[in-house]
Amino acid sequence: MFSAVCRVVCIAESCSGNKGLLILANKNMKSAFYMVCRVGYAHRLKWWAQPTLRAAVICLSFVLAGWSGTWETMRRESEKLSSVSASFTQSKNMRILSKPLVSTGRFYFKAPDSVRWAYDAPVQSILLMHEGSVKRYTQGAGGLTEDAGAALQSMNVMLQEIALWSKGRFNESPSFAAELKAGDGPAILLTPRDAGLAKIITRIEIALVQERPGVISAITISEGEGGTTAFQFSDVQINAALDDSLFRKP
Amino acid sequence: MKKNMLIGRLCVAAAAAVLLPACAGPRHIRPEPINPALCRLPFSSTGCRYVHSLDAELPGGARMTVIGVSVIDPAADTIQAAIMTLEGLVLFDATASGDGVQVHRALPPFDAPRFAEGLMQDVRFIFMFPAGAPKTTGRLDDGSSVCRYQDNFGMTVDVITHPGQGWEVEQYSVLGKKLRSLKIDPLKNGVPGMLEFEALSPKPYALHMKLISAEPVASGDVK
Repeated sequence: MFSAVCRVVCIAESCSGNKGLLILANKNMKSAFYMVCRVGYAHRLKWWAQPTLRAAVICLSFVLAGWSGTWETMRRESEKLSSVSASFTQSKNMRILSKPLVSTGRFYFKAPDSVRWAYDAPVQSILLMHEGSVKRYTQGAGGLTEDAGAALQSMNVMLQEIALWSKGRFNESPSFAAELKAGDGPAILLTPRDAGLAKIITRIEIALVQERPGVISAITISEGEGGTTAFQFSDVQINAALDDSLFRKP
Repeated sequence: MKKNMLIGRLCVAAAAAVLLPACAGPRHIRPEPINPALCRLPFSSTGCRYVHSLDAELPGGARMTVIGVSVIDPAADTIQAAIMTLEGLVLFDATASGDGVQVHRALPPFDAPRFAEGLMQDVRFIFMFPAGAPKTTGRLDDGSSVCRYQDNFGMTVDVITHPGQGWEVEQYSVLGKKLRSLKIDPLKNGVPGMLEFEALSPKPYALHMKLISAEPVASGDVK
């Protein structure tokens, strides 16, 4: 289940053509995240710009909830997940800002591969993934319109790539090292292996609430020079019934 | 021979018909005294930090929505600008001052040669009022008032005031080619809620900028 969730949810849009970028959980969890971009540093640097990847981390985080100390336990817990929804608050800190730039919205996931990631403010934006289709809508001058970028067009190619990758060709991550951090505030720490990537993303920390299975406390992405993006989750609902239309229509 | 000459003249005429509108030059104005303060109104004369949502129309019709942060310090003639995705990833961060442009961060495709200089010039055009006194002032045929500025390089900037309907700013090259334009909505709490920017050359693109927040900053606060 864990693999099924993440193989599809973690599609990246940033690589076009035969270039591929993927983040997924390996069944043996030796490498919880696997990111591949076949051709070039530049594309690897773009990965976090894509909402699907962020959805992946969020999805994974919920899946990881309930973790009690080992990757194997985490995998078993993930098999119990059929849906997740949660409100989120995203706080962006960087040098140019005097105070955090706060965005809010709600995240929905339904197994095996449906995601709705909706920002309510300050810019209304909705990412939908359902049955292999990925669409993104943003509120522009002309209303809520569908993005028509080449990145979305590349998704069909990406799905084909993922079909190959899901055959277990990934045993370790070339880009991120995953570390389980136990203790009162259990967390997963991801650090880039590649020095070039580390200049863009220095670390990702996923904080879990151990005493409340199904609930995570935060995700923090550090970009260096003091720049961070933090996600705080609330009103988390696990395994509630979610209609498919939620993932088809903005 | 005469036939060839006729064809040649027709070609020249056709080419002129195509090219002239693009090089029509600044609008015709009837000279008339206009208070430059009217033209300055939408521009902050003191330091300000703006956060906008940017709905970009890129060459080829692609659309992209990002968030832009701009810190303007007119006293120090310094600008800092950052672009980030809705998800928070910083794509571009740079400072422009008298010493040039210092790029703090630029991810592809924002790392292209000359991109930073071009972008910071656009930001300057959008937020900074033209330096010096207007070369001339006057009115358009529709009655709108105009302050016309000219810089040391011969570029012309017209700031057009449409009473009750906002402002327009147009920039022309020495040859009269329109380079940039900006439509500014009427002010709300002293700040325009919407800006419509268009760059026409060398690579045309447009930005629909919706204000998220604006706050004053002290001079010298641009880092």
